[in-house]
Amino acid sequence: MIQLVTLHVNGDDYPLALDTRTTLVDALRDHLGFRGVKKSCDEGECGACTVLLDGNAVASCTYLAVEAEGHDIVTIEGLAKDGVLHPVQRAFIDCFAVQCGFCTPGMIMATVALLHHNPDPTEEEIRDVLRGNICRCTGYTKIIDAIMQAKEVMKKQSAGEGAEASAPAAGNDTGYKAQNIAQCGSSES
Amino acid sequence: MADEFYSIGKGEIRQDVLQKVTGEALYSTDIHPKGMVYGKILGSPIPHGIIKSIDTTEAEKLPGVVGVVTGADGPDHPTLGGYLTDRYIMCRVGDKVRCIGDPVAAVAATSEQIAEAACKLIKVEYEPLPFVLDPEEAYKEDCPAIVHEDVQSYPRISLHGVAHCFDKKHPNQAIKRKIRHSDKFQLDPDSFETTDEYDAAFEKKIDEEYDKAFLKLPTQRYEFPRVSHCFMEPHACVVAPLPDGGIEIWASEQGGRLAKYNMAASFGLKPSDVHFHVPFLGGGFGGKTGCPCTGPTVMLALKCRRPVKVVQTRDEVFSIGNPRPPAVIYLTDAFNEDGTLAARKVKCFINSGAYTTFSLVMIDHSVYGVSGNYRNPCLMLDCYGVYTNTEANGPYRALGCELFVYAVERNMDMAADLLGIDKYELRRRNVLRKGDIDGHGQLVYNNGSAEAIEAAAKYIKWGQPAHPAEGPWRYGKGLSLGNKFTAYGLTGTEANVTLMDDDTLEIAVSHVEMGQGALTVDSQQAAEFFKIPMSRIRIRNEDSDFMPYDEGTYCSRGTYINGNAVLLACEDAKRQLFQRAAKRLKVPEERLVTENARVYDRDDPETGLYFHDLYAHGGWAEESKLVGRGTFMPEQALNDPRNAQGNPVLFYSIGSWGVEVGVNIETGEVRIVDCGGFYDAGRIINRKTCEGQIEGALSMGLGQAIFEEIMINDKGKIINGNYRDYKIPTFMDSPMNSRIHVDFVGEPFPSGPNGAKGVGEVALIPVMAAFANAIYDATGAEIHDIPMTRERILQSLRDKEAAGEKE
Amino acid sequence: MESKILNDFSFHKPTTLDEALILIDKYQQNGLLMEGGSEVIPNMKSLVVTPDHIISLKHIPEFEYLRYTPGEGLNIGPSTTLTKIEYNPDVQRVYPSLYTGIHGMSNTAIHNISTVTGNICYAVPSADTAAPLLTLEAVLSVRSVDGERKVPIGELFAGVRRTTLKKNEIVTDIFVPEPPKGAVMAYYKNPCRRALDLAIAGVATYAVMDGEVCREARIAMSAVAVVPKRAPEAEAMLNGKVLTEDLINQAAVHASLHECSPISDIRASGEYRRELVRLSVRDGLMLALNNQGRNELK
Repeated sequence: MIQLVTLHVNGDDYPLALDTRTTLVDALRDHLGFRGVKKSCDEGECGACTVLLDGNAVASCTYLAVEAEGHDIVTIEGLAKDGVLHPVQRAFIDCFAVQCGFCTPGMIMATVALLHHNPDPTEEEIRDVLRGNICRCTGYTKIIDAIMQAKEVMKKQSAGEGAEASAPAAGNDTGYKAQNIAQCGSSES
Repeated sequence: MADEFYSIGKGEIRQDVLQKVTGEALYSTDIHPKGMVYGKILGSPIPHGIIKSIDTTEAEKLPGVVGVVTGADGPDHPTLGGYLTDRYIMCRVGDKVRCIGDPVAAVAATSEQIAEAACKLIKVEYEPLPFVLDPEEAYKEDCPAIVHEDVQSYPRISLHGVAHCFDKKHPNQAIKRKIRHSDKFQLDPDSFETTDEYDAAFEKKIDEEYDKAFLKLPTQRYEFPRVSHCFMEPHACVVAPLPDGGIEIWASEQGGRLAKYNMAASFGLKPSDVHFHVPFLGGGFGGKTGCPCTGPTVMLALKCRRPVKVVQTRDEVFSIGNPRPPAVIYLTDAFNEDGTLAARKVKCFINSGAYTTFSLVMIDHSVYGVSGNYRNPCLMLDCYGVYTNTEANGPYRALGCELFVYAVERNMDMAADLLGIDKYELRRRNVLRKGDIDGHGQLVYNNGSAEAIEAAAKYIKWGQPAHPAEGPWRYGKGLSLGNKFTAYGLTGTEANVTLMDDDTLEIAVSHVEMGQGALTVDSQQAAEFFKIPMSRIRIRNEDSDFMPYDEGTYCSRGTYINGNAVLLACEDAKRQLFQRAAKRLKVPEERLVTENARVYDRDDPETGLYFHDLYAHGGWAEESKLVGRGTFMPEQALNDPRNAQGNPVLFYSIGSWGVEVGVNIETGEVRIVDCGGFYDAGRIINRKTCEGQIEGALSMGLGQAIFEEIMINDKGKIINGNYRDYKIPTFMDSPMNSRIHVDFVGEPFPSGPNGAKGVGEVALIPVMAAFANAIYDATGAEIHDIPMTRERILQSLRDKEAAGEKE
Repeated sequence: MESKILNDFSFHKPTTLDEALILIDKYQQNGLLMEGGSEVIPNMKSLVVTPDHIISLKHIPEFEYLRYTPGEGLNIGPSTTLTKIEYNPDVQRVYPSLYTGIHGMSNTAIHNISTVTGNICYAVPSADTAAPLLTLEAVLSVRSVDGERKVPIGELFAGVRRTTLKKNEIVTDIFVPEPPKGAVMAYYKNPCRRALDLAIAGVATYAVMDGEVCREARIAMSAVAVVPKRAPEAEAMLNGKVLTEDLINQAAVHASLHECSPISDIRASGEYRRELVRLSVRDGLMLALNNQGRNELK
């Protein structure tokens, strides 16, 4: 069934006539040309298609495009501002966190969402929150390095900006941190 | 030491990374020519049968369908299989399907939905035939299923030590690879009437050595599963027909030139009418040597006269995406009292699946795993590639060397225990050193095995006990030593280096970038040569029309072969540069030096000119563009196929891991305490990209060791073809950064470009064995079935208890 | 060749509960309610489910809430995402087993759109919120055009991907009573790998101690029977008794041998699943014996 829907992507409005069956990843890639959003498993198990929806990471292959109307969608193409790379992009370059690059857009978007909610994650917290992003090339080691660099840069930037530090998205009271959890059978690394 | 270099050894920023972090990098899945339609391939639902009829009428009528092809629209003889040509691009009526998923038809339509719906409307009638799934069963003389009745008549190329000895007694045998080596006695195959007689005589002699030995290990059987590369980008291909009758292809393909010539020959086109582009690959790991989509997509494009894209679903990547073949290795070792190897007999069955594709290469390459680290005073090896009715298998990072390394490393540990010799010491006594002759009769002159294992043992504090037990957790340490050889290709490799009129440098190669850093290390060679910063070097690789020739990027040959070609091209460019500069500057060529895009008189540095001074008017009005050309042709040598003795190996790269693990003896869970990998890859061109490959390989090897296994049911159908049921390590499964360490040993390789060898495959090879040895040390669990899942570990502990051994 | 193509459907976006009730009543034969969609959409792609109508519940503001009332309990709105629940400090402090169950599910991106309601109503045998909610004795509020009723969680599951809900019913609230002080709760997922995995044998435990005596024990299991379920016989062995390691082991053995019926599949064998049940029941109750995992921290 064809439906008219307007998607707000990277700050711009795109009116589209879409089959209701169209997933967000296909709308972004094939209808709007945002081919930086990658499709790998197409069932929400690998994170390659991660985009931001109102600042939260979402698997665009398991999200219908018609549901995305009215939300603020950001893809990898919308991250750099006025030609200046986002600190996460910069860190991925500097720390050699990229090899084949296919997981990279999703990984970067998931990282941006993480640092938005938790500006100072530990390595354990990074591995936990980003567990849905699979990489076959890097073994994750240098991705951790990159996120550690990015968070320091962003903390300095926020400090420089004074009290304008971005607030966590509504409802995430603990900012992606697990506090006061009784031991509950999770195995340590 | 690194300071003596301008660029070599440094962590230069990757050439391709800016495109990748901004989403601008294009992969085959991203190519979208105007008017493009989507293709879907229909595969056989049965493992073995004859196609009686195909009816595509209903499919063709579906609105949105642009074209349907069957085998009748493709080549009428097998054209696939570079070394043993045994496969049609599409199966034909009257001929057989040989595995589930064997292509029988394909549809192009305006959407993937419609293409898929149309596939379901195609009616195919099969006459099922008996099928065989296991290679040892298929090897038997009376196997009721013969996969390729006409295998003896297929065109083939002899490769290295591979003997295409089709054997009437083993009708499903496709390939056989042999090694016969001895330091103890000399047997010349020429002095025997037949190879069989030579083999019999050799076996008699090696059995004598075996009988004399102090420790005779019983034959150990190791079984390895089918595993998937799980590259993040699925197999993908786009083909556009051109008005002049040619075709334009974009494919996720490691062997672009081979594929180009193959498609040209298959479809009766001139190679220059096949324009093959290789964009970035979203991972390759060997599995993209021979993209399975290309042939059918060409067929669709030629029939429909529209650009067509075919992208495999994730399930298809598992079920018809050329995974690594399952294999069984029988290892029979004998040791002297001092722990040195006395004799080794190896038998291996590799499940080639329905078609050999590149599994032939794997069978040839894998056996080097036995000869690259240790002395083999007496070695007899027989490796069989056997057809079965399972999916075609293909090369996978390490080409099977990791399987032989696993078997050898487990046996070394076993022997050490039985002899009462320390496991590291036993290896030290067997390891190859400069001047030795290896199992292929080749002189060892650059092999860091001794240094690598010493470094690994030191890192893991070998000799000191592992962590003490904690609750159900037991801790242990393991060492492993592995190797990967690189042989010459069948063809040379070219590179062009152009000195541009804006003081930059442009390199053209056909080195495929699949994440390993190909473009970066090639650029570093040129940066080093001309002392030009990387920011002024551009490198192009993706276009077969304009890029110079290289057959393909695999077998860890890229850095060595393309790097050498780039250096030759640099030398040629410098020659021309100095000729022109000498004329202009009126300075003899011998006094000229160049750096930073400037050429000047060594004795009077003020006298000089820039590249741009050689040109005028924004172009090349005065003289032609300054293009340096280089062709690197490594010296070819062949093995004697009767015993594989010869000089085939360009170099061995070496790796060793020392790991400490914890094993939960209640649940079978494994955790990594610490791991250190030490590699000899010659002089490291880019330390960061090299480390990255090894760290990635640790994760991949961990997955192989404890998780990864493609499962099939009793009809050969894949039952876990998705990322949930086929498990690869996630962030939470891979070790914390503080628990992984990578470093490098060894010496620069004399004929390597600035001393480099390769590392892509050896990175993976020792990993599985290290974990196995550590798990054994922790628990006494001997796992001969890989992966070492939790249940298999627990079963092994139960078996051990039942056998009454003390823990 | 696996399908990744969804079947055709009409898409509905009600913005109030009443609208949603009317829609699901009208399309109850061939319609599907969709919360996050992370289960539904992949299953639609492989044609496991083929609805003609999808009614999305993501756009009803009154469905999104999370209210903890000290002394009473937690009310979870049907569209509240897993992310909002798992990172809520009250949930983490008061309901640690529910936190653990949610946290171990899939990944962050899925949590950002998925819901507890979706997890339990989709009713796969291995649903990770099921066992904790069973031990917490949660109660669902359910509405249809015909009226309203309460469904204790123990009466929800009917079979593989089947619940006792009628086709036109919508869950409008999940109420999780507050455990008494001193309740010790745990959840063990027992996956094959540490992330992105299903439970091989999910076990939740809940024990309220009174000195040495176990006043009440609750044990729930998922992925080891057709539906997630309690282990009442094992619980009866413990209720009102002095808790000892020996008694714990007996109860654990009993639950694993007699109160579950795990199958063997590509993930694990039935025997291994039973063994994991035994180990996890034991470990969860040992926490109570050792006075760990208290639900209130200073």
